[in-house]
Amino acid sequence: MDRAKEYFDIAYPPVYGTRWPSIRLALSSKQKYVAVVNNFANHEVTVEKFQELGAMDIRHKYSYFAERLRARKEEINEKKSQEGEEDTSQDEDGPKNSKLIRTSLLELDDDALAARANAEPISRYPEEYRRRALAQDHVPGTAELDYISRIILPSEVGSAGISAMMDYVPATKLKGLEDWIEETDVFLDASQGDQDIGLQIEKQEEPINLPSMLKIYAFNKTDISDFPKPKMDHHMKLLDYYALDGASLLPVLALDLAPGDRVLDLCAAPGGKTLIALQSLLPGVVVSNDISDSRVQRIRGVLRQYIPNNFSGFENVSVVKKSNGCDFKEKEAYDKVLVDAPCLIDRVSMQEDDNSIFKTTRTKERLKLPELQSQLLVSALQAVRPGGTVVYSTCTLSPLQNDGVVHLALSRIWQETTIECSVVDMTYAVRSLSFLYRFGNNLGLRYGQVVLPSLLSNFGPMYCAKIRRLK
Amino acid sequence: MALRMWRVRALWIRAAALCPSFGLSYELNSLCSRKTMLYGKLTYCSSYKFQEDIDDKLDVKARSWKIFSELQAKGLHKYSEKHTASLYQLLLDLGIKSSTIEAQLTATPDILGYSIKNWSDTCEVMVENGLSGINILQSIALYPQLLLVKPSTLRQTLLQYQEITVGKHNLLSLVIRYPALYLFPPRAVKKRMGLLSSMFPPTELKTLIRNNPNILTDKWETISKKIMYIHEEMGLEQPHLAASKALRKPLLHIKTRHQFLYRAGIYKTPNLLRDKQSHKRNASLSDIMDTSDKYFANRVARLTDLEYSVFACMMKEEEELEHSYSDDSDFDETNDLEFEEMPRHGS
Repeated sequence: MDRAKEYFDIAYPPVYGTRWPSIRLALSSKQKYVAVVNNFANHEVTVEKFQELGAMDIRHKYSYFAERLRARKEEINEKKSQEGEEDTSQDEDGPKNSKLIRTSLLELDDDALAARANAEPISRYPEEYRRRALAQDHVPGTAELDYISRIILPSEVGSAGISAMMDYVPATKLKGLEDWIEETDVFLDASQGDQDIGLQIEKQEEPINLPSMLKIYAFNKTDISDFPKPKMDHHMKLLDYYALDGASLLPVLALDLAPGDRVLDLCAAPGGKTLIALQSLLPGVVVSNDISDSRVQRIRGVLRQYIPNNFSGFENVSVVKKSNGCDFKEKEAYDKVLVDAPCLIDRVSMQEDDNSIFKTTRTKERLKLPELQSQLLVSALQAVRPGGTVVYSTCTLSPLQNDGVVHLALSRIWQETTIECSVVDMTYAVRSLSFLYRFGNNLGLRYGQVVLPSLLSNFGPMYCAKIRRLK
Repeated sequence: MALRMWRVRALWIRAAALCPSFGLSYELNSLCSRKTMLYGKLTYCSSYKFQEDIDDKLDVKARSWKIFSELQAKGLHKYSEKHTASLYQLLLDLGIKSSTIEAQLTATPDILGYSIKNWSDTCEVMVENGLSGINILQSIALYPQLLLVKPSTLRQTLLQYQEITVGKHNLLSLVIRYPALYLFPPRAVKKRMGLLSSMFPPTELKTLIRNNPNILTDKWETISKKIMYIHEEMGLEQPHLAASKALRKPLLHIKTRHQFLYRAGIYKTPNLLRDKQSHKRNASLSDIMDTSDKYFANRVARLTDLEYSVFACMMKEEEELEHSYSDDSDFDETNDLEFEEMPRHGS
């Protein structure tokens, strides 16, 4: 626990700046859960129960915000076609950079709101630095700069004008923790541009899709009430809802499930994300895979408690498999693949010592994590069919295990295979969920989105990147 | 009745001459020199009183009638008009402004529930000890049961407090600011002071008591828990404790404020044995504990007050959970439900 805290206290402040204290505070405090209602049990009763407790179906707010986003986009498109010419200063389309329409307060996340509420600008840095930072291009997706985040002055600007957040912390400047010296070997040189790894980036304009059959309940922001323990529906012999970290919903939504999809969950244990996929009633088959017997048992245990095994028409939808994800035998066999990779699991490491990944006996395992993660991702990209989607997610804040691994995997794919990919930029698409999550904007993330823990909605951390295989 | 009030007034004037130097003379000054120049305190006080007398005699009846009817409108019928008027007059004689009297009577009408004899007896004792009118009224308003204390007992108590010293001053000055001491046996206070002086050197003890007078009257268990927390968990020592008003606050408040900073990584526990200055990397105990929630969240912690209020709820829950664990015998251990990424909370 202390080793974990030391690691985080050194590694994360340079990346998360002034947001780190509030993240750390949230990581050390009570986690918030959402409830996924079991469609196979008596869900009406469950829904009523939740409504009485004061929880809300996230669909209401989601629909509202999704509508607004769509409406605003249409307005912009109309305006553009009316004006008929491109503004050269805007190199991204979409409403995010438009100064014509003000971002409504409802859509701003907590950090931006706090920035507005804070009357005095925190002038930690001399005027000059701030001006220079402002002059630099900011990450697409936000119309206003986050004045609170600590802006690291770059020694050199990346080829696409990406901020220096992407420079990983040089180990020579840190305290002499032994691990750090070992880890320099693993640090990447991420100033490699996207062209070098044959990458394209496409933007997802449509708000992220929330499948209509999913019933997900959550208490409002700042409400720390708990859901009662799941109850058994005696008729069906199934539990009425499944509780999980709210941020775990995001990768499943990013998959953008379509009816009949063949879905692979490469590291499925304990099975929450698989369960959500099944509850959407969309996929044709969901294969849950994991590496060891014990993990596979856990998945089976969860599925047994929620999915009926003799439901007509549903017999072969859920398959549980045991195999090594890095060396997955099936190639080009799935429409959607989810890789919820093993990682540092920040939240658990902060709070518990039991079998922590920061134990000295697990150091080697920990240092090899990025390699393992990128191998899983490569394997996933091989298992998905051309035109399909892979979603890579972790529950850590470490940039190395997030963007770093995506970059590593993509460069390997580029070098060793003929697969072509594009990263889907979901910055705009996830905005319809900003009422639920605290997204980390302006962090220099290249490939994915990150949900930051906050006391107001203590979900996450969760990093999520969406990659589409083109060929 | 009139004679009694005159007696009070006479004492008042006498007291003006021999009031101890705790800043009371300033208050007397301000009362006397209201619309007139300060000439000779004594003489002016008396002639001033004369003038007031004539004016107020006309006013009192009307003003007290107003108060009386207000109280009647609120449904409080037990106080007679005559009683209200006499109390009003008594308070005027103490030198309290009529607006203050009215405000107090409407705010705390229960002080009317005591006989005028009680009032004048108590006021006499207090005036003897040099307390100002406004102070008397405030003390009684806070602790009306004071009026039921026998005057001889009260005299004794105040005398005993005069004998207990902390530093150069005696406890009488403290009684003025912390009227709960009137109702507390001085013996117990003396004992408590003995206990505290074994933990705190005299100068710090003086500051500590001045800042946190409740440590003389609160239960020792409560106080020592707070002191222990601040010492052991926060790594601080006597000087910091003395300089702040932390001991006035409940333990939960102390814990919440500390944990808010500690978990955010903002409070770094000092090791004063190794480095005498290590407490300086944090905000002062005073800044952490004595400030308003808003100031604390925004300025000291540099987070938001919304986060702080949510955190305070969480801490309360954690405390309740801890208390229930000690007497919880049927906690469900056979929990074989799988929750994704859910750390087991002490099960």
